[in-house]
Amino acid sequence: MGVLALSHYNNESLGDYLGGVLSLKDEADCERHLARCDSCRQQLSFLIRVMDDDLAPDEAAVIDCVEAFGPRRFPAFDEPMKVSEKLQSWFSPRWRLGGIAAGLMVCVSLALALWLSVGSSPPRLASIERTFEARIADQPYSEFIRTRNQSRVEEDRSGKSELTRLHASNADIGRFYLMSNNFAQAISYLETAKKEQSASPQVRNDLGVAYMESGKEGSLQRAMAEFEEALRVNPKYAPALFNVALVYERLGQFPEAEQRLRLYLQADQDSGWAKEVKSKLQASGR
Amino acid sequence: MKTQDSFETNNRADLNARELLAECARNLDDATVWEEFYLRYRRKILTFLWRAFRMSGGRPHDFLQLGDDWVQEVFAKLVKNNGRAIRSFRGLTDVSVNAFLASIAVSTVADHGRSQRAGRRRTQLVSFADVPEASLPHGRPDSTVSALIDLIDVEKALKGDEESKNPERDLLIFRLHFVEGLTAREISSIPSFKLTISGLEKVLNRMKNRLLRRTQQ
Repeated sequence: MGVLALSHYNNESLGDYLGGVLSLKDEADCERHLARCDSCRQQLSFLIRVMDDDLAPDEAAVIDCVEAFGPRRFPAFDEPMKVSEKLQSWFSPRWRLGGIAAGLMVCVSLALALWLSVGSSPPRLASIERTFEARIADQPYSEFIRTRNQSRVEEDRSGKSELTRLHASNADIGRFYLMSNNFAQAISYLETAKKEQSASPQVRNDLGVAYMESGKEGSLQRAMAEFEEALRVNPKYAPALFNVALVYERLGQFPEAEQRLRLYLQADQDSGWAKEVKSKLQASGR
Repeated sequence: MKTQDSFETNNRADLNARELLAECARNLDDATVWEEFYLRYRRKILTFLWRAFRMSGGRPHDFLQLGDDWVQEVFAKLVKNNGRAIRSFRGLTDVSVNAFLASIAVSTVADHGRSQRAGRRRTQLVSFADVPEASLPHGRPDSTVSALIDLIDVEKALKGDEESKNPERDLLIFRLHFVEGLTAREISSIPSFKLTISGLEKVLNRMKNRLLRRTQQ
């Protein structure tokens, strides 16, 4: 360590210092160096920030996303090869070649995806299984089939390719959680997004859906307030029109629900959503 | 009656962080002990990697692609060269395990940055020029003191502080706070300081007042 005191400290040595594993003399040498060496002190500060015990919600969201799609078991255990051999074999020339080939394929796919996505803002949701009745902004129509367990959290359902299309704004992360039926997290992110984009009917609508499907006390009233706000900004915003009718239905105010369903049909007559609205009106016998 | 397997599994679950790392270092090829380590530390390592990447200007959707590979790379670094890295670990506390893993995670992200900047000089450190604005100090150091730093010789001023038991350490604390922008809470995480947050705030206030007095002389 005496030599290190004269030269710069690397990450591992700084880790030793932060871990409190240096001798008193080495510790004093290190501190003397850090007090005067800007680059080592900057690196130490960097390391301290990396080690922070508090995990912010936006950090947790990113980590959740990676964890949801990564291996849950240590990958080296799938085959009988020794752990150290297997880990090191990833860096063998054969795997490197494979990695380069795979990397090229990913680059081509990304370039293609980027080219296809130019001009398509905001990003649209791919056609996915509809696990709740309410309608998310930009959601393509798919039939809603009631099951006994509508509220279960589904972390893995939407697929990694879908996630990578998201730019991880608060609205996108909120929508990801909404699609995963994780309504508490969705509300948290969409509330933040609402502060950032108070005039966005999409954010208001999705926040309303999150409240509505969360099933908590007073959630329908909160959902209604968000949908009404979305409609104040854009009176013909179809998802909010659709969802307002659902809220009235759930509140047992059927005449109002019917009125809103008819209003919806003025804005949308041909889509799958419109057909669902028509069948609702038929079923109610009106 | 417990089987040998369940006994060992329970034993592994009972190991503290340091003991688990020591077990891994002793048994580089024991899949079960490494799996315990993986299950316990994967999220923590991912967090360290994400923070290092974000503070180096990385974006979430890139991390979604790279995160898992980097976790594997951290594990590969631990066992490479017959486990030289993990066998070099001498820590005794959870903090030391975190510091050890964080340092490897930061190096892993730095390696990635270096490989993207082909042709540059190889170095163990991330240069300040490579750290984008997003990673600069979150806290805003006291502007009065920040302005004074340029005007006076802080080192000389603090060394002449009769109230201080350890002027060298005070200088480091001063620069970590007023130059690097670390908060009192962040600085108090350095174990060798043995200071609580309020203790650290007192030290900072004492230094600040001393410097202000000095400029008025």
